[in-house]
Amino acid sequence: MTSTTTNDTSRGRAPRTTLTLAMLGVALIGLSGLPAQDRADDVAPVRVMRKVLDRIVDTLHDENATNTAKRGAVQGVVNENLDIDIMSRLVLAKNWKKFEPEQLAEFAESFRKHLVNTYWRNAKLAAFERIDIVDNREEARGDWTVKSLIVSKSSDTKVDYRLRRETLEDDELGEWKIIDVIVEGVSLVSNFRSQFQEIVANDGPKKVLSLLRESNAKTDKTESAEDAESGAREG
Amino acid sequence: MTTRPCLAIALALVFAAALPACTAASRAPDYDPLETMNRGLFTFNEGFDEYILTPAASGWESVASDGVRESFSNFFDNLLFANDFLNNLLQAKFRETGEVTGRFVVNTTVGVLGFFDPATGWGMPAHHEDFGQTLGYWGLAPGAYITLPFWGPSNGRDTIGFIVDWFTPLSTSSVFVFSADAVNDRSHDIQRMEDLRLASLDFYVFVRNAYSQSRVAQISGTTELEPSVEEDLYDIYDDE
Repeated sequence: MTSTTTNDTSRGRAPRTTLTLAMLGVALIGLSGLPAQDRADDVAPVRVMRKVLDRIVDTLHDENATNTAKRGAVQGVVNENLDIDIMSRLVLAKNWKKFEPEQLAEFAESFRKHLVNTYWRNAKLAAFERIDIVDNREEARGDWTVKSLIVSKSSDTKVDYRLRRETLEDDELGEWKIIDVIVEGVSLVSNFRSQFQEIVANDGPKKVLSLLRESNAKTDKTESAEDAESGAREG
Repeated sequence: MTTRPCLAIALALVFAAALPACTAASRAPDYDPLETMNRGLFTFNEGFDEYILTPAASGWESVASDGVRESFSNFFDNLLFANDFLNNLLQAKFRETGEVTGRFVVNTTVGVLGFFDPATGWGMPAHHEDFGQTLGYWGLAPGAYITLPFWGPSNGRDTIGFIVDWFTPLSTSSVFVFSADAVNDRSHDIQRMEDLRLASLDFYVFVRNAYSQSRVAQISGTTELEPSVEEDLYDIYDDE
């Protein structure tokens, strides 16, 4: 008997023995729910992104969860998977040197909060059916790009994630973390770098910190109002 | 000063800024020698959006269902056929040219003058292309960033493209159709625009950079960054 692969099946060729059918069944159960392109791409950064996206999609599609619970869960996942130190270095670029050490620490924390808030604001409005991982590739410096497609009824959106392994204190390599998100070709790192460059050039590092503080405070206020409203509705 | 000389000066500045279109600086996403004028026009556009466009879009949103507004979006999209046909052809994208032609025929007839979009489901997706993209496809650099009044972000190359698109037959070249399209479009994005403002720390720079990056992606047809951009973006800056 010739061997039967999943490719044979996709061309409609009928398996000829019970054993082949059984093997095929096992393979299909294992692969169910994954986009076809994922099968050959079982590499660590793809596994990380699949886990991250699955958790986000499951949370957003959970009809029993409250808005507050969803926000906490989505923000938690994003928080865990960003490499905020690298992202801070990338967005500040040469302006990094203009910040004092304590300003840099405040920047990293405020910027993390700002990114997590921004992600949640966009995610909660997204009326999508599913997110497919469609491709991935190795980049320079050992980075990895994982390409995803947000599939919705009206249109699809391409979102690429760039990941890098974090460097631990003893120079060992740690987990894969997200260092950039590219939506339809628009890199978040590039966009924030432009904004920070302009603000630092005109008004210095203090202005960047005060704008981040203002923005985060505004979001906190909106979220408290939303929580109070949803609490009153549930009560 | 009357409007006409103002307009003439503005256009002269636009084309003067677009002239060094092949230098490295003019390819950078933040090449903005007209920033003072652009920021003024940006403030004007933001005011127009706040006091005219958003109230009109909110009013339209409150009386028209999602389905009705989607149908109008389909109708206005269908009017872009001549632009799509011409610019796909000019970029030698023959398969796409065929698909947009089939799409126009199907949506204009079966889709009742374009209000419905059966073509997408029948394997004829939209391939929107404009003349700015065609110029970019054949190698013309964007030149200086420009904010156009009432319209928003553009650049030297895309402003030329905008003028050509405006006079392409069947396109949204009447002020009435253009305005109705803008109001309908905006009605889909009222909350999203607010969120974008909240996501940015300098909304003008946010829009400028996002526009420049997305035009590069639209012209190249890929979300992959150019190697020189990629190298600059992901290297940790360290001058020690």
